[in-house]
Amino acid sequence: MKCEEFLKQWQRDDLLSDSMKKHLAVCESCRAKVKDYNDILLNIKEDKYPHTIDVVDSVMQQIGQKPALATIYPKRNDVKRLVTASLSMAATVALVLMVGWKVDSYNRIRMQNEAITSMFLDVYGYDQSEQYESFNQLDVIEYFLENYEV
Amino acid sequence: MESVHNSMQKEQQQISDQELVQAILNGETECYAKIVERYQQLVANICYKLAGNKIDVEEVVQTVFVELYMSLPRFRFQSKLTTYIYKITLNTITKTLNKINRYEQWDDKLADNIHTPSIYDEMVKDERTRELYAAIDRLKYEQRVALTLHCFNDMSYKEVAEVMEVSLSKVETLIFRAKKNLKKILTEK
Repeated sequence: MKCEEFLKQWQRDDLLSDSMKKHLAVCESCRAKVKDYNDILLNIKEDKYPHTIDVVDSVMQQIGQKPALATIYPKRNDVKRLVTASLSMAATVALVLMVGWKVDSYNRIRMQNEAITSMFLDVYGYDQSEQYESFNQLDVIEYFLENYEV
Repeated sequence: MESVHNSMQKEQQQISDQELVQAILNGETECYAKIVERYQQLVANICYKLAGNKIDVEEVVQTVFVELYMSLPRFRFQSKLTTYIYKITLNTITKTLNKINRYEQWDDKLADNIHTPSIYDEMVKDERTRELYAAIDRLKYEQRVALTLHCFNDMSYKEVAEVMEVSLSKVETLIFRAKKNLKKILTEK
């Protein structure tokens, strides 16, 4: 195996095949690259910040200047209660509006039906059995225009 | 009822993160010192690994803990406190690096001043270690973060995804590419 071939395979695979291992045993340059790579990964894993850090006092001082958490964020239970109350209020308002709208539209339809029925009776009321088949909307409109002020 | 702060005095007693956070939220702010004490070195380690050559580690650690304190009420213990701390640390590092990058773009001289020999440079005196760090530095930021977090403390892909706020498959891809690019960089040498 040549170096070029080894490096190509090494870049592609994580594990070393037997032929790659054989090449490593004889090639110092490739061995150095593999060692560098492994050292980097080991370095990331084991290298620690070499100083002992102590920021407790300065952090406590900084947070001492901030407002207390309880004043910024209300307690979780209070938040829950607030959200529940707002949602139920919104639901009640929506329900009232919906019922009002339904009642209104029901009344409007009922009144229209009554008007049409009374006109129907005015026109054909004298003999419904004979005229019923020829009844159509044009007749009603025509009668309406003649007898009612628009 | 004995307060959590008083119970902290008892050396033998080990108080869980959850108990501490609850005590802090109930107004016992002093308990926060225990959290800082417990995790400050861990945060310093990640900062050092991710951007030790560009940022002032101690300053970033302080910022992380102030941010953590302010966001504690939003923490629901759905993940480990450490994962939450990693997340805040990563955000703070990214913000700090963005600021530095902006300075570099607008004023090179100012950037030079920022890059005065840091503690990091003094510490990493060994030439070989310097070379290894230089190779990691050449990786794209996201790849470097994913690889570092994964290697650091043997963090699982799932944890890395949670900290980076990306999908699991993206983490897999990032780590795969990071390793591949690292090999490529070393091959070019």
